[in-house]
Amino acid sequence: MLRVEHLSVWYDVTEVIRDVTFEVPENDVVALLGGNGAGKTTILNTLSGLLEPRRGSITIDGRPVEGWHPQTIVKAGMVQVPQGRFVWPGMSVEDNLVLGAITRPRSERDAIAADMDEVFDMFPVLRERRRGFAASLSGGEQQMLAIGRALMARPRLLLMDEPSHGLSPLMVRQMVVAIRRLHERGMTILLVEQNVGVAAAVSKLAYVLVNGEIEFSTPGAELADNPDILRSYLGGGRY
Amino acid sequence: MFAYLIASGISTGALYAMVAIGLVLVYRSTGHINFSHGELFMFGGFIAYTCFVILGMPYFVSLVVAVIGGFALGVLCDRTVYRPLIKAPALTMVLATVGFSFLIKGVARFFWGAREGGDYVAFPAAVDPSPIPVGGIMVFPQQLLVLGGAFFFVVVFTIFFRRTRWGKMMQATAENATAAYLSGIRVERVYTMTWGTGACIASAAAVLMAPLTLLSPDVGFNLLLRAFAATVLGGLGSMPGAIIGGFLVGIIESLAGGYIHTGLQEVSAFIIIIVVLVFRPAGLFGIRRLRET
Repeated sequence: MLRVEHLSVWYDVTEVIRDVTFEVPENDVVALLGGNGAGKTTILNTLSGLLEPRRGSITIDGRPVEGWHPQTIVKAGMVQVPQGRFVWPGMSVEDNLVLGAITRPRSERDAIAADMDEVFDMFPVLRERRRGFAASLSGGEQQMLAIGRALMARPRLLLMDEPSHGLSPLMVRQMVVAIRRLHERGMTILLVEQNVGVAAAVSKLAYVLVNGEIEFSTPGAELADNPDILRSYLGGGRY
Repeated sequence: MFAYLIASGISTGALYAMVAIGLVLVYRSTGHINFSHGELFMFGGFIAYTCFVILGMPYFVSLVVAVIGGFALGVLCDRTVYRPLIKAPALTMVLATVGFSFLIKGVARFFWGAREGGDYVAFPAAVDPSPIPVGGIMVFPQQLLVLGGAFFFVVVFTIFFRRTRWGKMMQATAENATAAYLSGIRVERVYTMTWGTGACIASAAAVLMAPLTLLSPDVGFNLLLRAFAATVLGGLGSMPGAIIGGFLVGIIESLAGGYIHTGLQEVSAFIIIIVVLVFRPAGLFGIRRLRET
């Protein structure tokens, strides 16, 4: 479904993503693992249209999308749940969700309401707090809201940037359950994580990123036992 | 005396609040103070002057034309000043908006300035200019019109920001532009709408105020200063703070001018800015806003 080939991204004079190639097949969960500064978020932001690649191609179902405006990418079905949640704190939970569906035509009003109900069914705490400010939610609840907001756009491919970051172990478990449920419903997911446990629990395939390059890939189930993972996190890559 | 000064302060404060709303709107969205905001206010007043005095249109029609013209000028400011410099350092934006303010002032002076008797033109009262008693004090009907008009516009724009799709997109962009991009909001269009809306509120304020004072191409800076004092007092970036700050600046100015010295009326805004920045830099609502975010 998503194919990234020979992607190269620069910040001014520094090449931060080097010749990255990977693929996310339809209805799979693929993880992109790496330590701090490996370039995981840069890749997601490039996929979402926030950054322009200097070289390489990004295709969704064979259609090149690199250099597209973020809105066009959302309309193409690829939506990011950003790191740090990035909900709108001064707006209500409901308004956050409504704005998640901003790219959909107004004629879909009923469908949008039904989708909001589905989000509330998935994360009941959001239904209880629907009129409250997003700022009043806990970190885990804000993560749920960020996922719910992305789902309101009816994506086919969800880009999740460290959904377990900063959450309690209990909330991390709930997040794993939520990702599995999304996958069962047919969602294709590219999961960016530092938490190997989370990636191992949900992904079919994982790519390990070191210093802006794909170091190796491994089946998700084998992640926990792979000694190269620890080496790559501790900066034992080629650079 | 006290009641009259309060009433007078409230009516001028309502105008400062309107101008401050536009200033805060642009600041929240873009992170920049629009130093040409006062000139957008002034230009809106002159558009209304052209319609009302020169072309003989009704006051309400002149108000609508000025609001539309103000919106267009705000959009022009976005396209020619803000957008090309969107990634430039803050100081560059300050200089660019100051430069744009001089440009607007020059255009206004070319079309409406340098007349016999100076740059000032009189804007006739839209209602009967004779003072009337209200609650034991004499007020000008235009002051009541200003208060009513300001209240009307504050309510309309509050509904716009809270209830409409555009208003919510503007708030979302102001709170987190990256999240807005990632949700599929056309952030660039929201910026354009923000500059336009800010300018059209300022234009509406100018049309309400013009009959009480005189219009001149230099009137914008004074209004910018007072609106800036209101936003600093209310807490830079806080919309309710700007409204309350506007009223407070109007009242403080009126009381200082009435009880201490008329000269103080002119410098009250400066004093408020200095005092707030020294003793409470976050303003009245700054701390609460930080907690919210």
